[in-house]
Amino acid sequence: MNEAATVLQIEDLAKHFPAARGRLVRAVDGVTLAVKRGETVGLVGESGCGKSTLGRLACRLEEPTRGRVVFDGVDITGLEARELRPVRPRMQMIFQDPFSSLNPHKTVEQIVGLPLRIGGARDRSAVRDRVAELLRVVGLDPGQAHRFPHQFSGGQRQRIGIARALACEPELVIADEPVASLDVSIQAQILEIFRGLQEQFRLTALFISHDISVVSHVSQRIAVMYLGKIVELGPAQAVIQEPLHPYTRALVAAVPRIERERKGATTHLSGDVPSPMAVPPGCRFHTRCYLDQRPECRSEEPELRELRPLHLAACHLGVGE
Amino acid sequence: MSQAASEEEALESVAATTPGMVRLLLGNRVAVVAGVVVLAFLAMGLLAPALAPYEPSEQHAEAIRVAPFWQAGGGTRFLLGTDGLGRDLLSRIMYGARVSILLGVVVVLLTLVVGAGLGMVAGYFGGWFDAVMSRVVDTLLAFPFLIFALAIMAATGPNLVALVLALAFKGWVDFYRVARGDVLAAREADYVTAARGLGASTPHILMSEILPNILPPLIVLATLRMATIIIAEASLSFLGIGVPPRIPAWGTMVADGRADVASAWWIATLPGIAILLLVLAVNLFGEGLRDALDPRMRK
Repeated sequence: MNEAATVLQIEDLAKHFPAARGRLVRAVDGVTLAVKRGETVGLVGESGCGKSTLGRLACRLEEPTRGRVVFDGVDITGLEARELRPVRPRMQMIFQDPFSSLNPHKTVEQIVGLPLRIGGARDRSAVRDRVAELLRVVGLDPGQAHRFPHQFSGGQRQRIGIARALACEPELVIADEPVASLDVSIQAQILEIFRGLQEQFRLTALFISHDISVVSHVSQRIAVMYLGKIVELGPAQAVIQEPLHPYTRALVAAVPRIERERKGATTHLSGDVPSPMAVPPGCRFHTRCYLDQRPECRSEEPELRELRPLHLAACHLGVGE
Repeated sequence: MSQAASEEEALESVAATTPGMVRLLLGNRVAVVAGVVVLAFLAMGLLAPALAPYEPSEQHAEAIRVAPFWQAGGGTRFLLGTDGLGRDLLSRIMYGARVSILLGVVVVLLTLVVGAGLGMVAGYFGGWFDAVMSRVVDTLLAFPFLIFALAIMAATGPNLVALVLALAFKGWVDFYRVARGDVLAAREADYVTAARGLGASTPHILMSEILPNILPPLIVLATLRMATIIIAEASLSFLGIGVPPRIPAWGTMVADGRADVASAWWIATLPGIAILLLVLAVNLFGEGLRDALDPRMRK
């Protein structure tokens, strides 16, 4: 893999939060992942699996317990706040909740213009022109730039958040469940905008969602996360159509589809995700796995292995071989 | 239908283009009236030397306890009557507004800046500073405020600087607590994370992103505190340990008149009404301001 082509390289990244009585919440527990220039990697998993924490770690809004984050060839893990500040505009986040992510006391122009002003833009009319341009890109009327966030709908507010993230032409966008709090019809619109941006700007992105069908619409590669670790990683098509890990298979099977051909038993997962305070020994999925298990499933943690070309899974059973 | 829609659109664009806060404040009739009353008191105090018919301490031996003009025995020479020393009540009330408003404004601004500043730092950074400050605040909260002020004033004797410090000593605690709590909530909001992610500096985040969001409750609190301070000052003056006796103050006037309240009710009552009016107006204006500061109230 060409080093220059990798925008984000995460190595063995972990985040453990202290909990009551000296216990640890292993939100992210050793993740290695690369995002190449111009590609979108989808990150899927149930709520609580650590995918949002991973997103925040990747742009250093959270301090990792272990591991490295390399952004555009520079290790940003140890950077101090002051050294980090010039790097920050180059990696931008899109948030899940479009109500919390926009300051209610600022106009759209102030919100979308903030990155420009932090970047040193002093000319007010230049900022206004750029804001208008950004609003047009995300399909909003630039004439509404003087309005406040509460005067917009959820979908419109999410567009404002996207416009803000794009203002500095970031090299990496981390979208943390950008459509999860929107109506289905609005979700489609936002995803359409996202795809437009991918084409127009050759966007590099980490797209986080709990919904594998949402992720499949916008990603070239998909990483599946379970209880703080990546259990499957591969080209989007392959992961959706021939999932290797039993967990991914269950996720894919859970997508509602019209005209589903019912061949064989449908895969249902039973039980809840174990607590990240008490990660099961061995394969962390074994408590919910529906396959015939081998003894090592309970004792040995499986590594991510390349079971097919470019398609990795962490399963002792080597499904698909 | 389409006409109604376009009319609504036109209204909306007007609403969005005019400075919403001022417009909303002016649309609130109670707040406007209250604001006018506050301004009237302010003007009265500021212009007292020009407007007052007499010097506040000027005694008229021939006109003691003269009734206000609408009462039998009253006249136009002393519009609101005179007190037991023959001093013109109207003039004294006008001068008394100076001390009440000045002390209220100075004490509230001092406590607001100190309390909100400390509270924001404690709430945003947490850590040992927050731990220490919060213990100090708990300790201060256990102090009975007026008794403490009484003790200070009894020790120093009536003087203005001691009075400001006595009133401010505990007053900042309320601002600290409101600011700290609101910052704790606001710093977790995604828009603060977004600003951090954009590379905004900590001062920018505190002053520009967080402060506007926590300001409305602080302003409402400031007006409530202003009213409390005015009453506290009047209480201390009533007890003879607040404002020095040579400066006319409403609290002192109420105290002076209380012996004569049966025979000459106006001496104690009229300054009392002045206190009531000012405190009420300040409170009502504060409520209007709170609504106007919230952009969600603007259509």
